[in-house]
Amino acid sequence: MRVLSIVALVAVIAAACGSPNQSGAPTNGPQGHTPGVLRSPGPDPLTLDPALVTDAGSHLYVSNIFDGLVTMVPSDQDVEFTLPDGTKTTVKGLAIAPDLAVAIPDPISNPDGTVTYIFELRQDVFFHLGRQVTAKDVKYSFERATAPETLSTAAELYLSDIVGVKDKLRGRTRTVDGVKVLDDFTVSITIAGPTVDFLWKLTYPTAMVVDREQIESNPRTWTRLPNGTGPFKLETYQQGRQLVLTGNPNYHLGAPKLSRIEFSLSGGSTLTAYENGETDVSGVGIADVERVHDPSDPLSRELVEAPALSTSYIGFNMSQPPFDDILVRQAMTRAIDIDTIARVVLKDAISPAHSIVPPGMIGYTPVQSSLTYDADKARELLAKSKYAGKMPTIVLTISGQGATAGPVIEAMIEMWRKELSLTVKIEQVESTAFFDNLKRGKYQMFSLGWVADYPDPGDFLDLKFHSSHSVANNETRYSNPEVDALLDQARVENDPQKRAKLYQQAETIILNEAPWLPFLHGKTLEVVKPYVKGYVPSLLGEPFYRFIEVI
Amino acid sequence: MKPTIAEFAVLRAKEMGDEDLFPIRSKHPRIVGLRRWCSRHRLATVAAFILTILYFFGIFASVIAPYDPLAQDLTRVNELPSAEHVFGTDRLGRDMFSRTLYALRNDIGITIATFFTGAGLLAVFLGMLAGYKGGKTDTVVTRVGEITAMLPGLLFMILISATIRPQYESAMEGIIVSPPVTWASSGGIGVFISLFIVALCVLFVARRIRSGKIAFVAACAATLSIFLSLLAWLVTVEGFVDFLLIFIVLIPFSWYGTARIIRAQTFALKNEDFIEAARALGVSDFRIITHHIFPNILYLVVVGMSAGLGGIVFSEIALTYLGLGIQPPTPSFGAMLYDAGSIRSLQATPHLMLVPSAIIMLFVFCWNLLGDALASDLTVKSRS
Repeated sequence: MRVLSIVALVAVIAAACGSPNQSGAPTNGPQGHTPGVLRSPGPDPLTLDPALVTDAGSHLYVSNIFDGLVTMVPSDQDVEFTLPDGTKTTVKGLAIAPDLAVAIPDPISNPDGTVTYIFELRQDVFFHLGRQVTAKDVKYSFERATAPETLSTAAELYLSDIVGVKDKLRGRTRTVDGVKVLDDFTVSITIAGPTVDFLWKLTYPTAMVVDREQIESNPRTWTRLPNGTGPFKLETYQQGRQLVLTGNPNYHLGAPKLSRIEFSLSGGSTLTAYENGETDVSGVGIADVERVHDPSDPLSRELVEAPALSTSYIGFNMSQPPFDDILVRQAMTRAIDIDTIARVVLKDAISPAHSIVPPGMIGYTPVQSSLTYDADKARELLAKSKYAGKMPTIVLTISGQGATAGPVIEAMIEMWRKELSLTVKIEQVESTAFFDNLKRGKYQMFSLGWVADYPDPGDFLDLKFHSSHSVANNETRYSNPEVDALLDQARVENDPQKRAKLYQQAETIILNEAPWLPFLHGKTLEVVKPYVKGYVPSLLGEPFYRFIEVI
Repeated sequence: MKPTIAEFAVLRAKEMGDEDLFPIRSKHPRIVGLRRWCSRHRLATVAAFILTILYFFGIFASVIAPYDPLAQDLTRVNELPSAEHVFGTDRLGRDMFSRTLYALRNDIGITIATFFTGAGLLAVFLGMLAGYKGGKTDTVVTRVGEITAMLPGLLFMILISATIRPQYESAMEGIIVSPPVTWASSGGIGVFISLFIVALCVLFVARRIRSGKIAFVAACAATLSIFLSLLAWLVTVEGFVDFLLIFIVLIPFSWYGTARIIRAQTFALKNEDFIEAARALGVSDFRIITHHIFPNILYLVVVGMSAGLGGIVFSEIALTYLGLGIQPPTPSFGAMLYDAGSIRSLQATPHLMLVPSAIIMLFVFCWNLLGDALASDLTVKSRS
């Protein structure tokens, strides 16, 4: 579950719009880069504990410090996208590759309907501090992530297919029976049914292996210097200032080509820093979109542009008035002319969204919402709702700080005011408190983004809209037995076409009931110095640092 | 027969040999005083003139503004100033001139509100109380004041508004729709203003018939009604809830400066012969304070306030810039600067930053100039 606030999502794109107060600093002229060292702006992580990762900012670091049984790599299969201006572009797809495991095991069907995977572990894997990784560490990591006292909200989403995890999460058992240590280097994982995307879910940080000795000797502060097995080690982390990763020369999948990555967390105008040679990559802000596309500008030759599998949306909490009324949700959806906003405000830098699942999932065509912009219809719907004429106060909560909520949100607020005469108040909350309250279901209406964890429609539909998930993972309180049935079927359907069809049916129903108002699909828009090689934008919005080289 | 003050001024001017410099056309002494003051403080006069214009534009923003400050026209974004949009448009196609006027209205609301709470009435009340009563009351007031003066104001304002905002907003949701507030915002202003006029008439009559009690009641009623009508006006201003929070936050940090000066002056005055005389005649403490001490410290209030208002406006802008003041999409200078505050947007759309900056500068600078001029009078007065 990688959530992303609108602020953070547009930060991929709008890093240069960050905090504008640093403009006056004098520049010291171009600074040279050091081969093997990548300097990059980065987000501040909310956590460095793999079991607790729920946001894209934390995922970026944790996935480079830790490893799971399997991992994700760029695949040979290209994914084709159509850009807003009609041109087509291709991006490398993603594939599962073995990581701590020697190979990807085949599923073994058991007579009772469960399915078992037997993972044989590599024997050359060591934690950064030197201890060898064994099957016991794998079992410990799964049991720790699912222990109620760990307070992981992600474990429910990615691990609950495993036999015994649901009971463990509710505190009914102390062990996870589905994970068994067969010998020092063999683990078996049994899942309740033939879930198609189970291995994909194992690539998420909740399934990554952590060091029991470190955690138990230092339960409160171990995340300050976490001990993983990944291609990079954490050297320092100073909140709001800098996070430094150093390469792990003994990495079992081959030492990374970078010896050091210096993430600057201080924000500011990263494009200016890039132009001054202080950083090797930078996001491009909306103000600079036209400039970097201009062929006469030198930056245009360093531009890396690729769609990312993410969706920004406004979530309506269906358990709070007035959003318990479907007509209000539909009216508010139909009052937004997102195409115009994307064209004018975002200068076509990001695609407007009309579906929940972003385009670009192999074998899946997202359903286009039928709730298109139509102000008259919107007014009609609102007039028919039970809140017509006695609308309660509507508060839209967003994560972030600063004097404005960003042009997209402000444009939408004005559209609701103009088309529906609805006053929507904005409340900005600091990100830690925001996610905390969001998981408790406190917000009536919120702005959020969802980045794919793996390229499958189930990652959006099953994880976000199945009513069996707890409040923490179903912020809109969406619940529809028909959708649940379709998602349950799709989860175990092996025929890709039938599976896509089931998901499309579910998406159609969800879009029409409008718990989400999807408004943008993400995009990577960055400039990268020519001496940085192998900087391939990923569909998931973050590059594969272990393949990058600085010469 | 003694000469009147005006005649005296002419005599003095003649003595000094500069009667041409101050040709006296009107015989009213106050006008003479004002004219003399103006020519002595030319810069401050200009400042006062600009402030009058700014306040006029701000208070009548809803009448003057050519467009709805929130209405966006996505076909015309980031336009430079033109005849149609005097200050251009912002990145959502909203008219910058209208937004500037409304932002000005917020700041004016805040200065008025602050005057009637922390920096004004509270400072006067506590200053006089501490100075006149002395003893323990004095110790408590001055110590509390010193503590607030010791704390870093802006940081504490940020802290307070960040922590109390959620509770405050849910509390205000109920208050803002309660009957007294809705009544005040619909027809209240008219009622209060007519009440004020009636009270003034009564005051005038009472003075004529020399009835002190009636005059006092009428004066109180007039003050109260002008206060209420201002409050009723403030309630109608969009973003009222937000800037009510701002001045709640400002109160603890804005009263002590003025209160300290007033306390010192009250302390000096209370041992003067005329106060002793009043006391000997059996005049009550309340009457001594309202009739004898207050008129003698009024000029201090004016000076203290005008020196402080620039800073108060600046605090609001800082808080809003940090996202803790007026919330979007209500127009405010802090948000405008935040929006436009990057090198890129300064290059591409300079008007988005320069227009609000210029207005803020004028506003703060004029208050400071005025405050300086009044303070220099004070120094002269105390020296003489």
